Amino acid sequence: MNLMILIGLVLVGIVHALRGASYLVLSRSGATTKLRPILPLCGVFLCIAGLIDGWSAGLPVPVGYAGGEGGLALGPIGCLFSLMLFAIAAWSDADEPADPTAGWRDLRVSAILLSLIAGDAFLLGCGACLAALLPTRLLGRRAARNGVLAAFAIVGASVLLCAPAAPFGSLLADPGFALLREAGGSAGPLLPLLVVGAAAPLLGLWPTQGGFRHRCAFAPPWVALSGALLGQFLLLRFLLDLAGPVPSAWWGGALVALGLFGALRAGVSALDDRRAAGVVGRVLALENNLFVVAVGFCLLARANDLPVLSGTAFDAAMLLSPAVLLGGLAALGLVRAMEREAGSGLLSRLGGLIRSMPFACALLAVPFLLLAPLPPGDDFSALWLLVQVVLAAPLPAPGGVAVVALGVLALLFAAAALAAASLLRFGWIAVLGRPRTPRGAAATDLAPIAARRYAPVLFVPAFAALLPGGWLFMASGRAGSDVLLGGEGPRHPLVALLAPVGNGMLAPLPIALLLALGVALAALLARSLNLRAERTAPVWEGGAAPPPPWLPFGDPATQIAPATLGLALRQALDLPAWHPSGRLSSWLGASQARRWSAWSRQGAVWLARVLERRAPLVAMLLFGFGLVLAASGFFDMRAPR
Amino acid sequence: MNQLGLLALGSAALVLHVGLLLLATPLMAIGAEGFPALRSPAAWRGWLAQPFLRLATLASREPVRSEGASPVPRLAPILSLACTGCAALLVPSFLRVMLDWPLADLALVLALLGTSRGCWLFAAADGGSAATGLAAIGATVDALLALPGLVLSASVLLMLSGGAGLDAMLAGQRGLAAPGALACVAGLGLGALASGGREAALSQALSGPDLALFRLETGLRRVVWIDLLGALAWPGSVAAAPSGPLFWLSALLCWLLRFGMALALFALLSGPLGDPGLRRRLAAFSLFAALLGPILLLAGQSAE
Repeated sequence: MNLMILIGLVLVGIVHALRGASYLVLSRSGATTKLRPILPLCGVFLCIAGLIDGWSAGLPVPVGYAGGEGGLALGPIGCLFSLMLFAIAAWSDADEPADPTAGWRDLRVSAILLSLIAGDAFLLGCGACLAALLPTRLLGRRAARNGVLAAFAIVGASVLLCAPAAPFGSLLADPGFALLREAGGSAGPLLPLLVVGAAAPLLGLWPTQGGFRHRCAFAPPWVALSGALLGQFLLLRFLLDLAGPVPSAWWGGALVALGLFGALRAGVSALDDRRAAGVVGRVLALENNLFVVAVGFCLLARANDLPVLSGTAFDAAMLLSPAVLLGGLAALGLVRAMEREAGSGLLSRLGGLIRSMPFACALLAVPFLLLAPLPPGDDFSALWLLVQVVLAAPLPAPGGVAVVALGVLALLFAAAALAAASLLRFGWIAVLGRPRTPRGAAATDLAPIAARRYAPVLFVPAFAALLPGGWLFMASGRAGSDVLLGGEGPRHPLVALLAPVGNGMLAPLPIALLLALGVALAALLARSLNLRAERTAPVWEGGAAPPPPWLPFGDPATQIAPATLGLALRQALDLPAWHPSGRLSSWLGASQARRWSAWSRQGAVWLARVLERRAPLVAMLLFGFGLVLAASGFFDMRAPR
Repeated sequence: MNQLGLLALGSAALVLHVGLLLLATPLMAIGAEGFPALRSPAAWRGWLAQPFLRLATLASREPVRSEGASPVPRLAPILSLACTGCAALLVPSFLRVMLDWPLADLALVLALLGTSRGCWLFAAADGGSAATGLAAIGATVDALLALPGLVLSASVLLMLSGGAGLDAMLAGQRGLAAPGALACVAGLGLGALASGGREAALSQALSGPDLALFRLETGLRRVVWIDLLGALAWPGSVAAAPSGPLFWLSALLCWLLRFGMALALFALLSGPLGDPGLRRRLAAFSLFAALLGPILLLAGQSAE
């Protein structure tokens, strides 16, 4: 059965690739268009069959690297991510034939599928490199640079993994996962650096958040979300699966620090972003950074031999994943549809869309509730699990570690609050209030049939939100057996999440039912109070004159603008500007501040120029340096066999 | 005690708790606006009856809504009251054996209260007028300024109790009685005060039943905060399951004492809290208390 599923997935991948090539080379043909709705659905059904059927110990098929144990293998984690990949592909397919990027999308789906069902590092690296490089054609030089850097980092990480398993000169002798798992844990600090380097542009980690936001704002939604899927998979596969059972605790600590910093930065930027899709992109970057934090916790717990905590952190990552990938896809798709209808992506041009697009706005509330860490969404559950991991960690006597744990806890809460505030601001400006342009006022709503397109995408995160135990049984119970290498989290019941230590419990479905009961009672109360007929009146403008004829949608000064929240916050904090030069001059004096400011500006310009013009060269130099270090055994810290 | 007995006890406790909430919410919503000259028993009776009468009057008025308003201002009171009601059901007033007690969790309660506040901010922003929109912006700025103190206080309390469940926080009482923990509870309270406020500005576009629901929700939110902070600061004042009737009575008296003190405090602060400067100072004090908490705890443990 497993062999059949794997062969089916390979066939789907091949047909996808052929279809993509036919789009690009031979232009569209009727034959390929007919296959359009069937292909991703076939993939979805195969993945569901794989998840339900289960497996005993993977299924290596020697169709890849000759002579080794590698090739293609149907693993639980690959199957789970393939399911989400095909869901993204199925959603994006609905854009055809208007979507001119369909060929690139099909090719990328095939490449990502290859890395998901790879059984050795060679195929994994090939698939991931292709997937990282393919959409760069759509996005210009900046994305091309990020794609090239990510591809080099993936190759470097793959080679580093293989290096300890084979002597220098025959690096790819046997890159099968079985051997790599056995020989893992010896790649030193360069491996996580390279993996993070590969995943950073895909996930929007610092310092590449701008690129991720750019993809969300300007590229088709599948580009950013399929990239994020690949980035999440690479982190899990490289760092949790192939890097060996006992990684260094520093890897985990560094990932947690990077993720928290990136999450806060993304949250603060989202509060001030001027584009609608940019806000969503920043929030998705924030969630991706929380995913990195969860992986970091997993590594930290595993390094300290705490399998239950490691499993709980993995559960949190598995709850974040569908919310970000599928909920984010729906959110981004709806926001882009609103932008198209309103004729602009700038928040200052949007407004009052709930009047012209009520169905789209109501639909948008679902992914926003999933993305904002509000109960009973997946993100809230994931955050709850992360908090439980910190609380259950065995900390030494009072001191630095406890203070660091306290800081981590506070930063997690702060990141969640920033995500919620960013989505609140989006709702104020784009959805509520009065229309700001005639085109926005005359926007056409989505047809209710469009719900057919969004419902399947939102089903998985909604299922994971309400029945987290059921989702984690598939995701962590099965995929965790692939990735956690013996570690296991608490066995959650179907409708609840359990804390790793103590009696703590979070039950989203009962909370949702309680909320539904509360809404019903409150609605009944409101109805019983509304005994008299309602009267409508013009909006009270504080005595000001009604809007003049040349401002039919109201005076912009009387509406909330995109910059209003940022300005109010700066005013409250008494900050003259975001740029710190004002503070700098008060500390150093005006002339010194000007000099330091000029130096730093020149340095930044030089660095940007070097990176822009010499990116492949820098990447190759880094890659070669890492290769030499790895092959020389510099980072080989395992005991000799 | 067998399962059936616990179920009956939990149900009875929940009913008692809901009854207390129904009595306390209008008092906190309207009665906290100020004490009249209460020199005679009749004046006291009048003051006690006044909130219920005023709410009933408010609800019976004609609802006036903005022209072209979206469904959000109609839905916001319902959703907000539902979220705050759920939070109120999870936080114990004087008994820890309520039927929904296993669901009670500090992070969940804070998230529900935040969601409820967000509903009102949405409703205020939908008016499209400068005053309500700016009030929503101002309320968000207040909340963001109070955020550091709030999250740090909550984090310290969670670290001290070792779990987010209110059961673990109250039953264990691990270190919660220490001065550091009390400082964090104070930080949480000050943060809540700093992030609240602006009720008058936010409710400018509401009238009739909508305004009545707004007042009810505000009162209920205050009651939730009082219950939460009171239980955290003095876990012994909340009766556990096996306690006898005498202990239940003393816990009820403790709750009455807490509620009366909080009512007086709100009556005193209802005017000054409208000042943005005071709210910002409260946010700063909240952060100060949250920072003081761990320092006191570390100092105490080092001294031991």
